[in-house]
Amino acid sequence: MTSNITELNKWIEGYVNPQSEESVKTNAINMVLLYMKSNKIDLQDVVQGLGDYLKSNDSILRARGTLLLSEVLCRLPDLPLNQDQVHFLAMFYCDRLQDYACSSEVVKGITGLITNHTPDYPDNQKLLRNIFSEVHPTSLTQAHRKMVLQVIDIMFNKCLSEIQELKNDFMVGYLQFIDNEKDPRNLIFSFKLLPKVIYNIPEHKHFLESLFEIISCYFPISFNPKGNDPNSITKDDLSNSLLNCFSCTPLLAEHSIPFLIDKICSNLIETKIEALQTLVYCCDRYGGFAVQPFLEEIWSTLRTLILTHKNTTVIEESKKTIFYLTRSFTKERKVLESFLSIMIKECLHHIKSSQDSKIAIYCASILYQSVSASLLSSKIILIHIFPNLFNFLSELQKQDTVQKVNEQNSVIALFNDLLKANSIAFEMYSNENKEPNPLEPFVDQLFKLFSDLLLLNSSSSIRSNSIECLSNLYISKKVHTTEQDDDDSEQITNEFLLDLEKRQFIIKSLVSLLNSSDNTLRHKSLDSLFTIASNEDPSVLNLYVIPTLLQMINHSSCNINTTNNKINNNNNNNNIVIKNNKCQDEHCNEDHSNKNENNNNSNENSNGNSTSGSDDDLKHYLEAFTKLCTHQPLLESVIPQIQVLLQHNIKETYQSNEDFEKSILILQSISFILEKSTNIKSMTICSKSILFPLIKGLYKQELISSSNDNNNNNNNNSNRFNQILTPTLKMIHSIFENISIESQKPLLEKLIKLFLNGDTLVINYQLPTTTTTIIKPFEKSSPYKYLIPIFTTIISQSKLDLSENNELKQSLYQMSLDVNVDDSIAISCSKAYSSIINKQQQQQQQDQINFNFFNDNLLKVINDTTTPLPLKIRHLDLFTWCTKALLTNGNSINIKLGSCLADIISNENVELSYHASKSFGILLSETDVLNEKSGSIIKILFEQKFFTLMFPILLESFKVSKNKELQTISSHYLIAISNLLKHVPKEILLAELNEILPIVMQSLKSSDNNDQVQLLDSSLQTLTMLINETPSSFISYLDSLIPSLIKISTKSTKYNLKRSALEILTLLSKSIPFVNLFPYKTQVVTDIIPCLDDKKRIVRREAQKCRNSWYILQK
Amino acid sequence: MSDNPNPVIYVDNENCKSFEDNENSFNSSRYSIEEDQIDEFDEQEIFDLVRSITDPEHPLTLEQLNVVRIENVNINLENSYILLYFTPTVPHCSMANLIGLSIKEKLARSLPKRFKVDVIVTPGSHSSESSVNKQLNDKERVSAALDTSSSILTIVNECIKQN
Repeated sequence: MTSNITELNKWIEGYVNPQSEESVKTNAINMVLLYMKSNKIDLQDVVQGLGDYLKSNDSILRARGTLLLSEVLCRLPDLPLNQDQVHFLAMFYCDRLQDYACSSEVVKGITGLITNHTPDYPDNQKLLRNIFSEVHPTSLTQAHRKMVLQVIDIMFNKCLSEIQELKNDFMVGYLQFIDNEKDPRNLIFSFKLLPKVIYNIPEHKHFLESLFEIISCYFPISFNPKGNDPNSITKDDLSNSLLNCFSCTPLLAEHSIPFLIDKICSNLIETKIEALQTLVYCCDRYGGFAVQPFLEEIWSTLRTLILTHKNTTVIEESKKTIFYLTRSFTKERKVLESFLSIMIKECLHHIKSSQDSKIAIYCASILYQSVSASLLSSKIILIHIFPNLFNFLSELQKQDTVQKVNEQNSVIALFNDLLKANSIAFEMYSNENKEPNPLEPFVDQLFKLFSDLLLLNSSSSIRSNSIECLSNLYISKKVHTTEQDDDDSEQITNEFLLDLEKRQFIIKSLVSLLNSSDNTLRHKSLDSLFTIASNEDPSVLNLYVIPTLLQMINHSSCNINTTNNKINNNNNNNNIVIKNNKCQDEHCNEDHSNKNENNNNSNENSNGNSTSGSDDDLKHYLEAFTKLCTHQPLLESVIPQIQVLLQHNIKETYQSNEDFEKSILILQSISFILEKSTNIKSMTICSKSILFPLIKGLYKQELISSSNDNNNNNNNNSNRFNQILTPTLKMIHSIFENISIESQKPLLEKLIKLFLNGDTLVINYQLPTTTTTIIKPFEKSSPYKYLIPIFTTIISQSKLDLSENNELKQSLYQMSLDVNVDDSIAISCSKAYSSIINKQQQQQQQDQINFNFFNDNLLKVINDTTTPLPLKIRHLDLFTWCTKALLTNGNSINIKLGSCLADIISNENVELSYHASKSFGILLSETDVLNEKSGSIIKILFEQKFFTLMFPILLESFKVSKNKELQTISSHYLIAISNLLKHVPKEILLAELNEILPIVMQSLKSSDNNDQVQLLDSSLQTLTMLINETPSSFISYLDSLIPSLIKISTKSTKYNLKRSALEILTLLSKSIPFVNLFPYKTQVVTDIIPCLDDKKRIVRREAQKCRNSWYILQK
Repeated sequence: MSDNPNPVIYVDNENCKSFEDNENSFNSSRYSIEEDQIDEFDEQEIFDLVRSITDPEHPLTLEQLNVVRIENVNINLENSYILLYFTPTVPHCSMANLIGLSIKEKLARSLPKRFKVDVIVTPGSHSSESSVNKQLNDKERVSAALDTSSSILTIVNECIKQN
């Protein structure tokens, strides 16, 4: 025992002595703690051992002694102490607080004591009182200041009532401690503590002003954490906890709201935005009554911002603020009413009297925000605004001058905004209590107003605005209905505000506008019809809209000037017809308005032929039908009609080319409808009712076109068949892709029989007696090969594993290598084959698919010098697709296949090499096969894996060929690399950037003689892509990049290269920070001047864009 | 307050854009594909340069406000001379100078130096026509107005900026 004491004294000596080395001190304190922990010595021994030091006259020794005691208390949480000892220690520390030299050690000790033990009443009080009175916050270090705050926090948790007795004294002391704090670590703690203080100490009321003074100086928080900060305090943490301080009591409102309004008026945009957000949060927390005295001030500040500020973010944020404020005031009706009444009064005044359209528009947007904020606000505003607007509009109509059209329009637009805002409010907030729609009292008046405007007004813009109003009125509902599942078809509780008669009236008026010659009106009414269709029950639409549309489609003829070879045009251009129409229409319109006298010419220019009115009609109706049918529930009910349409339009003989053109348009529309649909239910119906008749129709067609072999018509017929095939294949694709595996299975069985065995009866097709042979498209000499894509489309989308069917596989394999068929057929077979390989079950894969199979069958042919090129390319295509299949499902040989593909690039045959490099684009791109929808096996992150393995191989080959001065081949490798890069996720791209960039930059320097055009072109393309992805990575390369680009744009002989280089320069000016660009501004602006006078207009256009963009670099 | 708060708008914004950025524009007949073929400057090209300039006080383009029209663009290739008339929306428009300046500056930035460009108010469309014309075609005044430190330059840049 005594020996322990002696050792203890030795350690105490070692620790306290300021001359001891750091390690000795550490060791000493650790030994003391260990001995205490193992009960060899107790606290009393330590205190006795310390005795002299604690009383020493040397302040350093005294402080060291106190520190030892404090360390013991802090680091031994389980130290057994009885209440007397705790009291003794508390009193000791109370006393010691007066000793200035030891204050931080004492604070540490108190923290330990309070954390691990619980002193009795009134020791806590005493401790705290003494801390407040004796310790000066500035004399403590950051850590110790924080400890004081921690002590307060712990005391709140352990002995709240005791602290509360301190009353005002607590507040004074506390304020003194949080004042002037600058360290973020303490601030964040202090901010978190403050709400607790406010909550627990009622006397805070007397100190609000100084309290606010202390916290307000931190707003807005500007803080840039260092990257290596171990506390990882962020600006957001600080801001959020400060926000909590601001909003913790409504009593702060009188200080904080004027303060925030002042900050909102600040010049800094960031401050404005933050102050606005803080205002919203605080007002919400304070509640309406606390804010009421400031309503007018808040409103006028926000209004000024919205009406006069230039920055759109500020305006948007102010609008949002109005929205949120209105919403939070809804809890207090009176507050809301007074807030809104100020707003309504002023907005109405502006709308009626303002000469400035901008102000009226902003007022409208303010009203929009507050109407959409809540049902109650909507009600209050509508009651006040609508009667006024009605009167105002009728006044305007009386004046009826052309000048007033714009004003009338803006009033109608305001009506429309309010209708929209109201439905937002109604949808969101009327769930619980069945409040009526605030619109209800005005429905009839509104309906009359808009329908009169639509029917009687002459201005097209007013009419189109009233169309929108009508459709918004249409979909306004009486009571709120939550959205329900599609299965629940029974629910038709859609009670609209308008009765059926009025709704039918709207629908009829809209349908009658669908072939309007006015594009805006037509588009508007179509959009509105679609909005209505998405909200209305399909049966209502089937009453009028759909039958009318179908009737119009069937009856409008298709007049096309046959001398123009539009058939070929269409064939090359696989665009969807609807999109085409739009462009053409807009072209026409543009031309009409600009050059009326050149009407005919311009029409011919943009369309390639002159179109007559009825053709447009058909297109318009088809467009409408297509758009409406993208609404799934409606589509479901229209499937029978679609089937009839299909039957009517795939027919054996077409009366004329016009007739045929019309059919193609209709087929394209239907394919568009089906493509847009991903609904299993409607597609299953389609697969039952549409699929087989469709295939049958195609069979008939093909039979006709191939039976006329010797006829002159032959060419025309097969051309027709191909045109029909394109949209129908899309239909088949969409149908088959979306149905379940169970529905696919029986269909597949039948179709395999049909295509491989020629069993036409499965599609109910009795071959005409004139045909003697059985139709087997896969037979070598079969004339019916054009049917193959139908089959391959289906096979590619099959979710079933078909790999057991060897006959099927063999047929596809053979056909995909057949050089006598069209490319498209061969590739479709490759796709189908690859998708079968992809879906093979793992077990079989091991057995059947091995590298040798590909090596022996495909690679051997490709590498054989005697094989003719077309055959090689067929093999290469199949090989590429198989690689993609195995790549997608993560087969282990994929990288081996990939490197074989890379080897082919170095083949001496330029064409083959180029083809192989292009193939890399296929490998990782998204295609219509081998995707999730088609039931393929997709290994997670396969793109990443493949890229990381493949990229170094290509890179190496590129470097090797470059060193050997094989320009063509190296450019092909670069093409392969950029094709690969296109489809790789950004993260990976960034990781490899250091490798990629130098190559691209280097190849930019190459000249553009014939060998290197492709290299340069592909480098420029890669560059565009990379800059789009990661503009910041280029900052360090600007000094070499910009001169190279300028050189290409001025010196190149190929205008396409010039154009791309200029495009990249423009891109740079928009995506790289001003500071980095500025040094190059003069250089670019002066050096590209020659391009402004280029002989090519496209180059001039890009040069002009580029130069203007560099002139006005964005700061 | 602006001079003409509620101007009449002439063409739809959408149409304008779709024409400019039409994807097929490269293939359209205005852009020849043959490497040796020469595309001469024409009225349409000049008009394309100025149509998208915005009015200083409305978020509308000069084309939408009918301030510039393709009929009012004249180009003489032999003499490298361009004459462009612009029509202020109202006869007392105080922004006419600024609009003219924006057009002039945009053309100066976008055309080769060989062209001499005159920008003139359409005769009879503005109350102080001659003074506006004089200001616009006075080189020293223009360069003073577009000095880097000038606030006018900021406004002009704002007008020229393409979205």
